[in-house]
Amino acid sequence: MCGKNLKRCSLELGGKNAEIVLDDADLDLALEGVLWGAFGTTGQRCTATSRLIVQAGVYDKLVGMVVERAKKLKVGNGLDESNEVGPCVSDGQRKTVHGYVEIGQKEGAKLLCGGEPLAGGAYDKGFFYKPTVFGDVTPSMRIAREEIFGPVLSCIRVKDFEEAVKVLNDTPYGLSSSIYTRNVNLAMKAIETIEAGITYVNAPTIGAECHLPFGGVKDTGNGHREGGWTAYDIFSEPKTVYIDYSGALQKAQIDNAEY
Amino acid sequence: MANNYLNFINGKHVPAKSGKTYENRNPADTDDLVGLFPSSDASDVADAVAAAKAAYPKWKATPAPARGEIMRRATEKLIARKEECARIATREMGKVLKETRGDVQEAIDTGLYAAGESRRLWGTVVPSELANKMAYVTRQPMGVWGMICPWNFPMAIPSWKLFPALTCGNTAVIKPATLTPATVHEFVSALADAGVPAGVVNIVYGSGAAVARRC
Repeated sequence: MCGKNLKRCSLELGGKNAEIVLDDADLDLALEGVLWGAFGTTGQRCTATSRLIVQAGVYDKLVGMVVERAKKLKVGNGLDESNEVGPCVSDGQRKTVHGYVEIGQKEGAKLLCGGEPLAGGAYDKGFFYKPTVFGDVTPSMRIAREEIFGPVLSCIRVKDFEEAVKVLNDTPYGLSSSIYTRNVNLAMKAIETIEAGITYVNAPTIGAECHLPFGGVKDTGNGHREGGWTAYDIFSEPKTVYIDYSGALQKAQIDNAEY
Repeated sequence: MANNYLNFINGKHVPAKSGKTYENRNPADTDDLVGLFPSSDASDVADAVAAAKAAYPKWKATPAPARGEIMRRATEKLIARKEECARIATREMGKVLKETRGDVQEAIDTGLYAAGESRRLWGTVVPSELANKMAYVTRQPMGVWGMICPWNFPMAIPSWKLFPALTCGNTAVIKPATLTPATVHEFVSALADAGVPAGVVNIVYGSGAAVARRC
């Protein structure tokens, strides 16, 4: 519609954001990052961590740590401050989430925890879903490629930094990203080569600050950035003004040049 | 006990022309009815757009720092109502209170940024090729912006759009997410109470599909 009428249109769109964890990372830090990134807001952020890309040397250990903590997350009514994770926003959204869990199982991913709604007692009055972790996910699986928008994390094993970045970039989306490593050189290369509008080093994929540009590349968005100073460029347009106070008709070079 | 919410057009609260409403329930406890909201359609949007168009010239002519001062006052309202707004957001969206408090805080911070930015809407002056001639670039607002927002950041994302848009001198029609309309009501109330003139920001509630059929 905007295109047809030549009106400015600013789009946000989605993400399939990944956290890379290399062998040299602080694993406890990476763990806190992925738990918050994947299950905060019940995974319903466009910047949510939905892929965990782990170097082989620490894959088993880290994924084990993630599963153990995911099982213990307190899910319930958000008004009760002892709860950490609320419900899915609607019945329809929860069905979509569960649909993807079934797809993941059919595709051969290993369901490590969760994978079903929460039922019984107060849970029956809401749209609660168990925090879910899949292991041995490969980049071509649908659960690794399509945005689920719920508490479902896909874990992918890679052999080295190059493969980690390749797998991270292997998506039509490009909103947020993160890398956990203690190697400053690899962190710098990651910043350069990751295809995303936002990259975090040693922090999760969620938690943008309101005064910096926010938006994605590739199929995420249409080039605009919200937040910070760039939002003001979206909501205004330049007007160029020339004031001629010479009292004569003056011509700029384009009308004067003799070639 | 349900609240009856109304569209906000030209500074007035009005029902959808069809008179239809829909229920907004708590996804953690569907017994909790947050409120009834208008099921608007394209004709309601048309009224809102007309109001926003009519309000535009005067808002555009208001000096940016004066617009920024109204944004700042709106953040004072949000600061005072932060807990109340967070509770409403948790009830209609589901995320925990810690997160909805953060959501409201993000709107506050975006508003404070907007207030400051209203005095920094810089253009650029560069030398002209010619003597006795001045060349520069200034910023202009664009007119009426239509905004359709998601439900996952029920106050923060509307604030990302409304604060910069209004500070630049545009007027707006916002269609809140069908699932999280009450939080937008709170946000726009803060703007209105802070002195945003009638018609500068308008709310049309309803489903995106029904409202979009204006083309």
